[in-house]
Amino acid sequence: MIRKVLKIYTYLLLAFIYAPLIFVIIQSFNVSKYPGDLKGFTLRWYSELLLDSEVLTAALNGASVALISSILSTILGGLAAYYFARRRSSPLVDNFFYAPIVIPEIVESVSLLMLYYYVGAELGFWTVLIGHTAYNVSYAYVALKPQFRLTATNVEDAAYTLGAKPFDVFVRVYFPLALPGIISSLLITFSMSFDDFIKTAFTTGPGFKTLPLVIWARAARGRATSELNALATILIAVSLLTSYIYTRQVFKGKED
Amino acid sequence: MRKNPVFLIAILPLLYVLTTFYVPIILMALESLKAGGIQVYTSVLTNKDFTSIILYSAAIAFITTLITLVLAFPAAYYLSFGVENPQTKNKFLVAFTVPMLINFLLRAYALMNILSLVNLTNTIQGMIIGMVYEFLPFMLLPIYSTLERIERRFLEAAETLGAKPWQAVLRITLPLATPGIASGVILVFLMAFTEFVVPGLLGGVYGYTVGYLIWDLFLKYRNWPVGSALAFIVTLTSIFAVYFYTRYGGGND
Repeated sequence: MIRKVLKIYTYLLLAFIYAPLIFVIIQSFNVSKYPGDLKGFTLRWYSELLLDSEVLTAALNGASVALISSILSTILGGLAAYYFARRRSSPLVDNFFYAPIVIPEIVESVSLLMLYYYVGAELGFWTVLIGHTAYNVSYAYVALKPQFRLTATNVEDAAYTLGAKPFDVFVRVYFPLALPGIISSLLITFSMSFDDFIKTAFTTGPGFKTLPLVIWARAARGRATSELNALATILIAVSLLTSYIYTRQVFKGKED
Repeated sequence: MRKNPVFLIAILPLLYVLTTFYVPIILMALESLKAGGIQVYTSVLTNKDFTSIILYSAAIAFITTLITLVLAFPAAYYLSFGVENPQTKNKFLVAFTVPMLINFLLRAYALMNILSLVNLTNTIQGMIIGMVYEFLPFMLLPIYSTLERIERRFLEAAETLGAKPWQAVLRITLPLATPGIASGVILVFLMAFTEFVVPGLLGGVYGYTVGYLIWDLFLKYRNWPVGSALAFIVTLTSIFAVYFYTRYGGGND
């Protein structure tokens, strides 16, 4: 009896979480502009979106920053994780990398803006990229270190004993074993950067906008619009896909 | 034989984080002291406008945390004790985790659509619903993971010894779940306290929280010393909370 009530309750909670997302998706195909007023199916808002140069530029801006930042931070975080995974666990080093994740983003962003101001950096693509990579290195470190620790050193020892060169050991033994971690690191850092709002808002200059900034500027002006609904639907679909891949990998790893 | 990598490879990432994260924070601390030393802090903490905004944000964060806890606990309890099939359990977990990874701004925007149907945009209630909506999984998952670790034998023993189900929940499950509850509470409170997107989109005039104040002090009023002092106070609060969390909360995860 109690179990049944709890079960219904849990489903209701999930409905609360998913209903707004589903509603936006329905609205994006709705002929009528007014929420809840279902008039018929249309792709008009999507075609308008494709003609909206501000949105397209912002998407391209965001994707290029996110792509470079994810690769850069996975390399940097990976190097640190590789090095420190082989030493005795040091809370000092771990905390050094945890801090950028833990500190509120707004604090991180205003302080970085000050640094840019002092060195006279021109705000735009590069300053946003450097800013995103600052916390992404930490996310990559957190994603990769456990993986690198798990990668059994005796497998490596075996490869060395059998006469492999250090380079071969890395490329043919270590790297393939660490690949799941590397993929999750790339996924996390990419979406962290692509979705970022606060740090981008502080470290960008005139003319360089990403999608979250565009959505913020338009939604804050007042109400939801059909075009924004279409954009939101595309972005929700993309993040659902990446996060589904990611969570499946995480929970699969836990089952083993 | 296997060699340990040279320290050289770790220098690059360490330097990167140092210059793009730690140096700015130190710079901010210095900036806050520039105008008149520690005075800025006392003036920020005695300024009625600032303290009322800080207290207001704390109150909003507190209410959000409380509602989130009350909503999340029963579901976490059901996932841990009510679902026996591990595959179903995993499906539920994925269902709760996936939305957490969708952009904050997007979720707030999605909710705005529905809230506008019932005329709750730009209200205090709408803002709190928005925060609860965003933070629910961050409360549910840590609670779930401590519930999972509770020895089921304790509950069997309680049953054998004649405890009623609610007695077992109140006197065994709840106390043993405290670390998870503490992690969830601290996590959600901190995020809600400095949250900026949800109040900005859903709160209207009620959305003027600490995050907004810092934003304005930097980008609108250009008052860097005071903005820095405020940001530094927020930072110290979160460092303290996280210290508390790792010390007494889910530190052994």
